Amino acid sequence: MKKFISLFRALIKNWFRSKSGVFFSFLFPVMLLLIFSTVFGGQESVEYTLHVQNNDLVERYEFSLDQNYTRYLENGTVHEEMREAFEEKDHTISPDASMSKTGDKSWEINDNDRWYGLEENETKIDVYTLGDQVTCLSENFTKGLRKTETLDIVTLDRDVNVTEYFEDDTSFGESRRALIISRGFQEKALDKSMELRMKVIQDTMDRIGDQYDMNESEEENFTERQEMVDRWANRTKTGESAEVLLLTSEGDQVAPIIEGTVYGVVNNFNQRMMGVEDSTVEVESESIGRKDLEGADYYLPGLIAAFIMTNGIIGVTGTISEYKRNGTLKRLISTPLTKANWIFANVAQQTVLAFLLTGVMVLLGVVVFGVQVYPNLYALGFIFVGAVAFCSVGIVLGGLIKDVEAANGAGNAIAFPMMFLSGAFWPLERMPSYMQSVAKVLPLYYFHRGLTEIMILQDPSGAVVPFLIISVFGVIFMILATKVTRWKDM
Amino acid sequence: MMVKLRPDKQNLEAGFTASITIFKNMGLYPGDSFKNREGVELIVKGKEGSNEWYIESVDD
Repeated sequence: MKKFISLFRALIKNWFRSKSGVFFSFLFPVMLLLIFSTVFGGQESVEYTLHVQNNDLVERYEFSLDQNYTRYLENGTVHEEMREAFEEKDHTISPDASMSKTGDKSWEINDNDRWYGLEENETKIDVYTLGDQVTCLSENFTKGLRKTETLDIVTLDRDVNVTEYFEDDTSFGESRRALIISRGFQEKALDKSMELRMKVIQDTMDRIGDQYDMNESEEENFTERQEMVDRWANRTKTGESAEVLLLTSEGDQVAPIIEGTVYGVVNNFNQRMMGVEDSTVEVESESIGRKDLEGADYYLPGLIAAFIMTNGIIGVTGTISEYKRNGTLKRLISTPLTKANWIFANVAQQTVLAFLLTGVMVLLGVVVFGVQVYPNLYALGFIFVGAVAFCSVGIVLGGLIKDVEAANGAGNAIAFPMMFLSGAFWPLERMPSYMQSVAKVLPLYYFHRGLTEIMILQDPSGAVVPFLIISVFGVIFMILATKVTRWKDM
Repeated sequence: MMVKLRPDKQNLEAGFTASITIFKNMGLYPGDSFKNREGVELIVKGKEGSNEWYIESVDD
């Protein structure tokens, strides 16, 4: 026992003298906790920028043309007579302008960035241009986007070419996202909603006809009305839906969130257009963990687990390598120390470091981030088991690999990938499914999951399986450590 | 409670290889023979061109 305590003290002193040891065991995790909790754990809700260009403007009456001009209404270039008539009304139309039919009695002229709408009446042709006001429905749609807590809406001028706008200015970074509301949004939305409403009425009448028995006069009356609805339905058929164009850049990780939010607003808008004010399904959301947890509370267990693992594997392998390189190990072998003293002193040192690390991290969390979670007895027990398990891995590597550099390299090669792949630093759901499968065979996954269950969710029963897995893992590696450590021959 | 962990030739076994300094600190030189704690008679051997010496059992 005395020999064990002497070696344990020597290991602890040696660790404190090593600046890199202290840095990687304490300062590095502390830095990561500060960075992760500050960057990803902000209390403010996150808003993503979305540029919106609303091109759906209210049409403004300008003048009327004589009915005689109806003969010049044709697809293609604008007839000279028609251009002259416009000129008389102080509207110059270039020879390149084109005319196209948009409805039964409606036409449009597109002349570069100018637009004219022509509506045939019984006695004349009314000519419209676009005003400065956006349409009511497109404005409501933008308001709907603004109401979501996810999007920060920035209005883009109508004369802006969106693609060039983003390419010219590099200051947008990843927020190169734009939603373009096309001209005719309101008109198409209204027409389509009428068409859909008629379809609903048709469908409802069909069902009523199928389900209810009627007498002869009722059936006659019903069929007459059904035919009337069918006629109206045919008349309101439009085929075209109002469109919005969502542009996102490749590799924008936030794009799926933006798309989801826009789809949500579109669905809501569609329902309103169909006259649905109420919803059949309501979603209430509540947290199943403790409600008052900050970002640091979530990162704390993951970081504690990850650095107990790296301290155990890299730290112990490094100590053994260093002791081998500077001859300390040979001197220790020639003292009365036994293999058991050597193994248990290393394990004890790592356990003390693990508790110290936990204390420092929690203290920092409380002082800087107001952390609400404290490691209880279950957590301390689990931390002890974890420290023993990962330290045993380090002893196995140190005993198994004779070459000093190779042992160090092996420690790094095992610990670093495990640190990033296990989901200790970010939710597992963000990783591809095959990586999630990899994470679930790594012991660190069970270590940080168990700590999260105990410290965050305060559910020790949820940590039973992780505890058992880490315990079995620890026992196996402790046995291996005693087998591969050939004390007198190291 | 504390004990000094001093290198001692009585803790050595056959096959032990270490730098010359460690052997000299224990007062051991090539050709020296001694008995360890288990009573096995050992001898210090030098390696030509190497800065390490090693221990062999006298019986070998």
